[in-house]
Amino acid sequence: MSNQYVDTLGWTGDDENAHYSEQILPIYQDNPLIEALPPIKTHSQVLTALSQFPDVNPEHRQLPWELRMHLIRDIDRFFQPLPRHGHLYSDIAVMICKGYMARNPLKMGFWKQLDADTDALMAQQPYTRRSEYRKSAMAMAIIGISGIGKSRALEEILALYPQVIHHTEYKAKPFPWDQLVWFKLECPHDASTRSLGLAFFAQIDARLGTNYWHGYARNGRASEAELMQNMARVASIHSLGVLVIDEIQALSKAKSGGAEKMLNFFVQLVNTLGVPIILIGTYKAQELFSQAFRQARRATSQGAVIWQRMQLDDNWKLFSEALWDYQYTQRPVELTPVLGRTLYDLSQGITDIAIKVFILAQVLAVRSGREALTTELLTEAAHVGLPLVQPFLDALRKNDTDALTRMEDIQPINIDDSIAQMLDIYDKNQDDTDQAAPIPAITEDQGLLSLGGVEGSSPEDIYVLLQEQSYLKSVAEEVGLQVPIHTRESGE
Amino acid sequence: MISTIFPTPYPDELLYSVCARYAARMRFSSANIISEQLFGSRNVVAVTDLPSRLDTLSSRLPKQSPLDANTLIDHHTLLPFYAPFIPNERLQRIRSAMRGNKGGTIHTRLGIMAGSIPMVKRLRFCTACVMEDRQRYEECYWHRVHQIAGIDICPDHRCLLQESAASSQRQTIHYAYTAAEDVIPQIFQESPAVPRSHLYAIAKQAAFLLNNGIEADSRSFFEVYRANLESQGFVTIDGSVRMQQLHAAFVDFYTSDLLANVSCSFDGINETWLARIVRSDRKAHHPLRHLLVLHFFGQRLETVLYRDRSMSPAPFGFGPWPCLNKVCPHSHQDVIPTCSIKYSRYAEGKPIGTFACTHCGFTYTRTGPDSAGTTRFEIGKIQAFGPLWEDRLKNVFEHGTLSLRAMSRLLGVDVMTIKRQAQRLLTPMCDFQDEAAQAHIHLESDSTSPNIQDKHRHTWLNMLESYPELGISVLRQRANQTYTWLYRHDKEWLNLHKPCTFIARSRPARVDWKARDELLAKAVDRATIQLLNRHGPPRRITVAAIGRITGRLMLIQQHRDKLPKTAQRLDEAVESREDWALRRLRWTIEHIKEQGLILRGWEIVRRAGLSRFPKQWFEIHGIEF
Repeated sequence: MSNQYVDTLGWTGDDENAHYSEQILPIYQDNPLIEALPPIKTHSQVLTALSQFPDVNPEHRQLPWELRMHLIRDIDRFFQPLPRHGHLYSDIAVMICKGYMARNPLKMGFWKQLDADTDALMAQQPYTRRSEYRKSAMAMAIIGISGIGKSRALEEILALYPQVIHHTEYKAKPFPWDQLVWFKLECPHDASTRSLGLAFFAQIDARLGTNYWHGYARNGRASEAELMQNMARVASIHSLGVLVIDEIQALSKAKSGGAEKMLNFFVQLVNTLGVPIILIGTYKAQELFSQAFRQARRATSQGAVIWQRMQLDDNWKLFSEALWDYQYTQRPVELTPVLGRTLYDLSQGITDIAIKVFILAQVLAVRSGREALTTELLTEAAHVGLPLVQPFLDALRKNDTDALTRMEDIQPINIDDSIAQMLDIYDKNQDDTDQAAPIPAITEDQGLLSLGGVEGSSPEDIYVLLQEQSYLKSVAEEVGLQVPIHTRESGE
Repeated sequence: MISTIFPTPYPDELLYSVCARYAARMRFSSANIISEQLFGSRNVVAVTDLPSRLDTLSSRLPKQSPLDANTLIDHHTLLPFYAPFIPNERLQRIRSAMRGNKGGTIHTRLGIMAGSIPMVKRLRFCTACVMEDRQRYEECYWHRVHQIAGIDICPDHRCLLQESAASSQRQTIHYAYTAAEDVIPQIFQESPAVPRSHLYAIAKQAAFLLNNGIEADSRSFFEVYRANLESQGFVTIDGSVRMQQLHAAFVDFYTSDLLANVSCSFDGINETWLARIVRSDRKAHHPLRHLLVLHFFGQRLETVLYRDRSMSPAPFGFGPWPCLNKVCPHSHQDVIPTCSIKYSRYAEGKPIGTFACTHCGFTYTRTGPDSAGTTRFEIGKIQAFGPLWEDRLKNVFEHGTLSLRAMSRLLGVDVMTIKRQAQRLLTPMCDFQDEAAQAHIHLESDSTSPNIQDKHRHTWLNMLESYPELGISVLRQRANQTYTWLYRHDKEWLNLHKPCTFIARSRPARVDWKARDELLAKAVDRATIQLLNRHGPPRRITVAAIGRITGRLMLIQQHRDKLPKTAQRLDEAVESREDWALRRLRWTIEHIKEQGLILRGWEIVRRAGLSRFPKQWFEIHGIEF
């Protein structure tokens, strides 16, 4: 099947054949959907499972820079779980299990109830029909500024579950069933509810190998109401554990006939069919939720979780110390309080930016031959590599809420683009200053010796030259020339 | 691929029902998506009894599904009901048609189309089964055993089957599957059990057929009937069946009402289905009729089909068995290692053992099973005497010293047998082949005609004269040479001198097409009027529409050539595209007037479903608006 909606296929998880495990909690017993899930993890198990610390080998610091560049780029994978990730896991685990509790397909009357519920969904009936669902169904919204790690955290947590569980037999009775534990849908930019629905079917097909695009979306010709009803049906017949909708702020109010209608649908999906939903969005999405989602919050125990950026506290210390191990410069440095504070200031506690600044600084350090992280390098890397987020960070520094709400969200940072951009500027400045020779690559034999200033064109000198001449000026100009952050194309 | 939630079939569930439940679960945007998904084409008709394209279906089922095409045929279609009564070769062809895409041939091959037992018009159910299913599975489904033509009793609950609203024949939307749960209302009380025990027993037998997947040879039923006719005194001494008595007893047993109910009644005794079913094993008959006959004889399929198995595994004990040739050196010694066992056609399926001595060639048979040790030395019938015995007989006979009785004692056979065998062995007998030759010799000795042609003509005429009762094929066998010569050289003469042919009795017409034509023509008229006077939006008058109303769609479509009047009425009634458009337009205008709306021309045209604005029509037909 070829259509435009598959391109946005987000994360996919593992396929697994169902293995049923004895449930300790009686409320979860005799439910194949829950018994097939991996056992519920304790807090410390979660943190261990979530941690992503790529191996560091100190000897690698002496490798040629070309190789080390690869290692530096790999730092992206780094994930330091924080207490809030543990909380999020337990929220989601509860959500999935409780959602499944009321939707056991082996229970008598499953199909009848499904038909009744999808009909009720379309008739826009209030969701007071089944007390069972109301108790168990849940919705959650995660709100926070871009880069705070909302999506990443969710991705890592959901990866603790298989995405698709294939059932064939349960308790010696045939039970053919494809259980979709989680499904993540990214809201396309300026999306209407209809295109969200179409994307849902296209991506379900891509994941499960079904042909619902034809059967339910009528090859893209289905009406919005039809799509909504069929989404609800598919969510039920595949026992969707939790539906994640990312970038919910992109939902167009104008095109959806009022975002409330869409959110109302989600609320009904939750309340009528008992499919848990997690919406992820930036602060801009908060106003979407404020009306419609309040009802959901009232009906459920979960509500909107607001993820603040990190404060300069113990969590930050934990995070930066873990990150600091990943230095691939030839001369690693200790994490001093000053360096820690600089990194915090440059990222304003936004983990994504912090990691990227850290990567960019190392790239710069390696390419310039300085081979050691300093506050100056960090600052330079942040300003040169990530010029577009600076006004945003400025606003954060000043805590200028007016400016923050005025600004549209920053685009996700593509680290490759940032590096390319930084190196572009870097190379350009070298040309400008008539330093014909490229930066000498620090090979092993040159090693640290060359940094001692034996040769005239040592990296230190180049740096000085760059600083003296037009380098920083041109950086400033570049930043100035770039369209400010509050337009969309700025990120690309 | 089909979604994994393709329902697991319930016991005795029709495949149609499984598909219907799948459709109800999925609720796709349009009905033909089910056909497309399951059978690979959106034009596949939803067939209730004997569906096709099962290979396609099974290849599309989820990998872990245990259902393959053969399982589906055996457990979820009605084929097992027909299987034992049709020749194996045809059965295989039907099976392959069901697996493949040639669904159109199945009903014809089974003879359902031409048969006189009408197909079930609507899907049926048993109230007690529905209640049970709903309790056990939370939903009911279409049972196979309830959809058999002529059997309207549930074999499990002995209550009358109810007709549902779901048509089991081709519908307007021919690819639509109707789930039982959607059309069977809430049932609070079972229908009472009925006392008609004959049909109940037959329903039980039908259920047995469906659940046991028997592929018997239809010949074996003929043998059973024959044996029962004999044992129950319906056969005369010379082996012909007392049809009059049989028919009378049959009607007496079932009552004519019941037979009429299941479309199995008959008039007289000539060429009735009953006469044919017991007389010939060549023609296929509807399983229902076989079941009626079996039940009449007091036989059950279980015993008829499994009689071989119900026998003792070794009816003649264990070998080796003795040679019973008195002149064999191994006489009365256990030298025959194997015996072959066949089952009697006539003696209630008793085993017949054949024992052949490998030393002397003496072969005897005995009907079993053996009751005591002594029977081991009993001969039922001697099949062959073997060269040793025959040589001994010739020897003794030619020697001429022994009396017949002494010979009988010596050779261990009856005196008469000695005589017969001696005659056979010592004087060369004239076989049939030799007869012509003899005539030939006779003629030659006369030597009246030197001409070869005359000679053969003479021989042939002689044959005709001596055997006036024989037909040409037998005569030809007996005087092959002559016949062949005449056939090659003197065909015209031969044609003039054939034994008179028996005039084949023409089969009485089964259907009175003329009367049927009259009736149908009237029905067509009524249906046309009904369609025209229909309340609500008009419906186009088509052959199919009329056919559906009259309930004789197949007849009208396929036997139009035999129904001239009906065909004429149909031609008159059926609307052309233009007529139909015009009628729609008129109705729309009428309708709008009733509602008191004032609409513009194009709006009216749109409502009438016309593509263009037919200005000239308004003028030609004087429609005002």
